[in-house]
Amino acid sequence: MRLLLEIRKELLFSLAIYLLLKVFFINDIFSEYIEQVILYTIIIVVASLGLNIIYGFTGQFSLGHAGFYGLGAYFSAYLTKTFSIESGLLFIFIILLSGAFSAFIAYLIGIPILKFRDDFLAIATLGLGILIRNILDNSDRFIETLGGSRGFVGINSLSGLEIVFFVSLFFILISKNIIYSKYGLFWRTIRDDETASSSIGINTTNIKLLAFVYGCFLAGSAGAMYAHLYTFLHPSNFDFLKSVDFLVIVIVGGMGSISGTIIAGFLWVFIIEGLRILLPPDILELRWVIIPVILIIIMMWKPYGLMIKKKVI
Amino acid sequence: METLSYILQQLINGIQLGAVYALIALGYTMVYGILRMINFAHGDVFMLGAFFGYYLITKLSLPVYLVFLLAMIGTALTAFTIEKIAYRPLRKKSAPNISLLITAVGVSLFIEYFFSLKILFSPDYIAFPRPFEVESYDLKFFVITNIHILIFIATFLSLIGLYFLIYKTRQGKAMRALALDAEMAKLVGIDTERIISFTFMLGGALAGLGGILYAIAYPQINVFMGVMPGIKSFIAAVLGGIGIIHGAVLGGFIIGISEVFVSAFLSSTLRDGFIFLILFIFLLLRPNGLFGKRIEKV
Amino acid sequence: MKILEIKNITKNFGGIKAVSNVSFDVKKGEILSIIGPNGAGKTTIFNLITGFYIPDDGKIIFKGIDITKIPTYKRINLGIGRTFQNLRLFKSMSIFENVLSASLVKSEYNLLSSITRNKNFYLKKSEAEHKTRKLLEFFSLDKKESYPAISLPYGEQRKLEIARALALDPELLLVDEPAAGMNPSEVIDLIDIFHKIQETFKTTIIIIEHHMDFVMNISKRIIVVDFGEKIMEGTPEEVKNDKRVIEAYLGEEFISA
Repeated sequence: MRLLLEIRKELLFSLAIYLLLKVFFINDIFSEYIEQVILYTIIIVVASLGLNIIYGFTGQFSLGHAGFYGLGAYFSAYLTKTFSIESGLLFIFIILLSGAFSAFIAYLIGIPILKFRDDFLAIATLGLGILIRNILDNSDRFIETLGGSRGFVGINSLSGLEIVFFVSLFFILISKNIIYSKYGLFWRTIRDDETASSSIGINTTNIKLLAFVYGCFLAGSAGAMYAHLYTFLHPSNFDFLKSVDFLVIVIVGGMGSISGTIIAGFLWVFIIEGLRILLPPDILELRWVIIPVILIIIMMWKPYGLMIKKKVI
Repeated sequence: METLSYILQQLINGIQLGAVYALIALGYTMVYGILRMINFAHGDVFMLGAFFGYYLITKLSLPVYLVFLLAMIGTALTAFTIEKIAYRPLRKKSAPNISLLITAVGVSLFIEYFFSLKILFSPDYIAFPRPFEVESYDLKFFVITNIHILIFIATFLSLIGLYFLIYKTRQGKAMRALALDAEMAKLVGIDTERIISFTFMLGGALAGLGGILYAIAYPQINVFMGVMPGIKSFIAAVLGGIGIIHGAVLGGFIIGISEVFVSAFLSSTLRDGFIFLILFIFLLLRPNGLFGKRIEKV
Repeated sequence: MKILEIKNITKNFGGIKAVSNVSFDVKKGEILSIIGPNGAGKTTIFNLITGFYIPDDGKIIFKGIDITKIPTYKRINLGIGRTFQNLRLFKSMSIFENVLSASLVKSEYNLLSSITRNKNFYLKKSEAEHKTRKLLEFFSLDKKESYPAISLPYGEQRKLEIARALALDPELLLVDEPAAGMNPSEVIDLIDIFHKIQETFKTTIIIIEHHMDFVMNISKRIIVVDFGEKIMEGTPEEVKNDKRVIEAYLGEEFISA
């Protein structure tokens, strides 16, 4: 009961947004393309929140987040295709399962690589991302359905408004509760000073691993929703640039801010998609010239990241 | 017999690739040595070396030695400019390592996508015109080409030059002092900013050399060609113990040879994945690299 | 009763003996000081006790348990708290959060109750908050609890670090140069605080310090180390008058302190 009381504002606000979207969706006010973009944005927010927990809250820099997003996407698509899953409830289960799959891989890999700090962790996770991409590119050699570099086709379209919206809301609220608990506080102590954290008796190895595993759980779940939104997967959707996407959202939205990630996620996708509509394809390539400049300027302006001060607990 | 000569041939090819990686890895390791930062854009400086070479050959048709010289000067200046514009302001604010790394990632993406604009290099593959005819010499067990020989000699000479620079000149002494203890170097009156610029230029020139050599050996160039060699060379530097000059060279050869062998005997599509597997396993067993020693201070 | 036994510990760093064959005991309830010139190995001894380094040789026994090789967090949870020579506060966090983080370490609720926010969660949460407030009051930091930790003046940052360590309810508290960078009146204040800590929390304390007045005032027993070796152990009077100590250390620093 007290839980509901605590999150009543968020719940009411979300319900209002849902109803608004529902009205728009039913009356076909948006084109199908825009509807898809809206759902895609929500999915991107969930995955970015995962990276924010790993990097923004806990300070464990990862350049391979897209890899875990991709693992969840491929895993879920394989399951729904193999077992011809079409029911929404089963799909929700698949989403959670795919998150758990990414989390499990993250757990196995996290134990060794989270020993590294800063730069080395960055290179290790970058390598991990490339390794996953490499495996996806060759996936048809192990399992024909996955399609390898030709792409994974014919995935059921299961990510409708209800599932994407409420599953994502559920993830965001859970994340919020973990962040505003001792675990979230320990994540932040590790970001500030790992040595001092262990000096107050925090098992830093486990707490870092928790952040990494949970963050990758969110990425994997988001990947599952993504797969069943666009119904087609290609390894290039999960490459290094995708990891940079997530990173930009976390940095622009503010390290360690949930609302910041949500806002930045929306801005990001809408600017990118907006540019796609506004700019002719020839100039569209300018996008990746401008984005790095923005990134560099932010770093020069606020080298410690755009941090939003908020009271915790 | 045939297997043996096949292995030997692959070894020669691996050493060739490794030499290029070693040249790039030197830049990473020197910069990391003095600044403790990963210059993520270093692979793109390598790429620019190949493109400078391309334009010097096709547009100006200069003699080979001038092509090398001018391209290396070009990449040295590029590296100098990157440091000055992007990294120095952050260092002045004593930004955390990760902010520097993110900036470096930004610089890398910027260079790649800026030059891939249609009005510049375009994102397409371009055939690189070799400045000389390829000749091969059959040495019974394996075939060696004049490209192999050029790469071996160029790498060997630049390594000797580098050692001379680092161990016999004032600049080199200052670099080593800076790597050992930045505060102390400042106290004894070393102009650290100048040495940092110098290090970037040195690394840039070596990467540029690597770029042209790579383009001569594998004559297809593209604005993204620096990404994977860049990352692999960084891994080479880590393998040898980052910050250690001879470690980077050895690491480069290890990575180059392993890559060629994995492609030849296992799978050419999975070779990048294998390189990272090597990195993970290696880092677990020897986190400070082959020659690295580090004492963590609390 | 002995709370801590250090038995012949040795630690080398690349051939240099940072700590060499050092042994001493700490009695429950006492305030012991370790003094010695810079680089004598004092902080290394703390790092060995708290597990940031593992000794090459020797044993460390805490409350009868051999802790020589167990990880840091386990030792801390057995009842050891420490501060650092160069302050290690959580810089992006408030004063309150700095202490709260330590208060929550032993709080027994799990991930599931954080998510579901059950009764136990709120209970444990308010317990930890209560404890944190108490400690901040003790150190007169309660008025500023929502300020960022780094906004405090240096002397108060030191106090905050001690408060954070005390939030672990340690039976043994290791304090590394608490008086460094403090002015004389702050030092007198600090002596009071340590006596109060000992009375209120019944904590055994080991202090590393350069400040001689401070050490003489606060502990009845002093250990002197130099070049990684223990050169003597005794009362402040004995230490003051010992030839070896004067040669090794006091000669240069006694007067200046």
